[in-house]
Amino acid sequence: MNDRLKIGNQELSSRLFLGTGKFSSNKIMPGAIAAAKAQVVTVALRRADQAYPEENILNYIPKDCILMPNTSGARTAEEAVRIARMSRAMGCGDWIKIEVISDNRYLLPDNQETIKATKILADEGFVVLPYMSPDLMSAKRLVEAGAAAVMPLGAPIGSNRGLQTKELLRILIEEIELPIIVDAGIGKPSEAVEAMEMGAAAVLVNTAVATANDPVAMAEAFHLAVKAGRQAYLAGLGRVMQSNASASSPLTGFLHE
Amino acid sequence: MEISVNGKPVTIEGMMSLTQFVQSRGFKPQTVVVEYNDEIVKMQMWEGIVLKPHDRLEIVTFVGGG
Repeated sequence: MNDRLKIGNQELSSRLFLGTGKFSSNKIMPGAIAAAKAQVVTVALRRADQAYPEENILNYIPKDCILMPNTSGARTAEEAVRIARMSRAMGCGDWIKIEVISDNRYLLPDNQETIKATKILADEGFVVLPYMSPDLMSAKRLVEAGAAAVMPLGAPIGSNRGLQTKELLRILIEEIELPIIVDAGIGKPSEAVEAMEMGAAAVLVNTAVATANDPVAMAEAFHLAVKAGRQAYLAGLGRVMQSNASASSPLTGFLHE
Repeated sequence: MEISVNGKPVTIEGMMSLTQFVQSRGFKPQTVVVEYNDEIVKMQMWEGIVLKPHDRLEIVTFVGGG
């Protein structure tokens, strides 16, 4: 089946994007990325710590992965733009996940600042994937600003609470022509299946894999879930009855007749 | 003389190029990006930059993140 996800000028066969935060050791990462069959992997940019100059995360990410640095830590569009430019200077491509957060309790993204940063960076040739609160008007503005995909949250970052924003996600999937990638909140493979069945183009998972007892096995479970959900979406779900039942077997030829 | 590195004061002795400074701190040049007084400077430019008092450096690298 030739079912590719086109983002920027890349065609992806994998619809599971994997984050690299919170792993107990970098050494687990290559196995998890391989088991997830992830082609897009996120990283963050931070001040270099002199104490551990040898610990280069790029050594643990396969070279054929697309690296998607995020702008975590940015509280304004201006800070996100600065982080994005520094990230691109690392020489690992021009994908960027915009993440602008000034709310420290729920870590909810600031859509207005995210739109501003998206416009500036898209104009500079970045492939921009903004993380956002699922709001239709904001998503439309992200499209106009030049985003390559839109990444609404399912639940607050790292919460593993699933698709709390389901109805809003459904509306974005229906109304926005760009790929919708559910980012943040997905805690279980069943929730990834659900997002994909709804027509999400991909999901981005980090905490659910990194904090599992066996991250490699969980990465594979998510790979299978995303595949199953995507195939169910393409197959077209059967209809749902609002009440009563509908027999699956014939209602004639019973032995008691 | 004193310069600022990642927001903290650092004292250095004598003349030092940016290349020498980055290496003296134990970083592999290929794994970091440097902002010199708010401008990103490519690695090829580092040798030509001689640090002076009150210079501000940000040295950043990739870490795990979602």
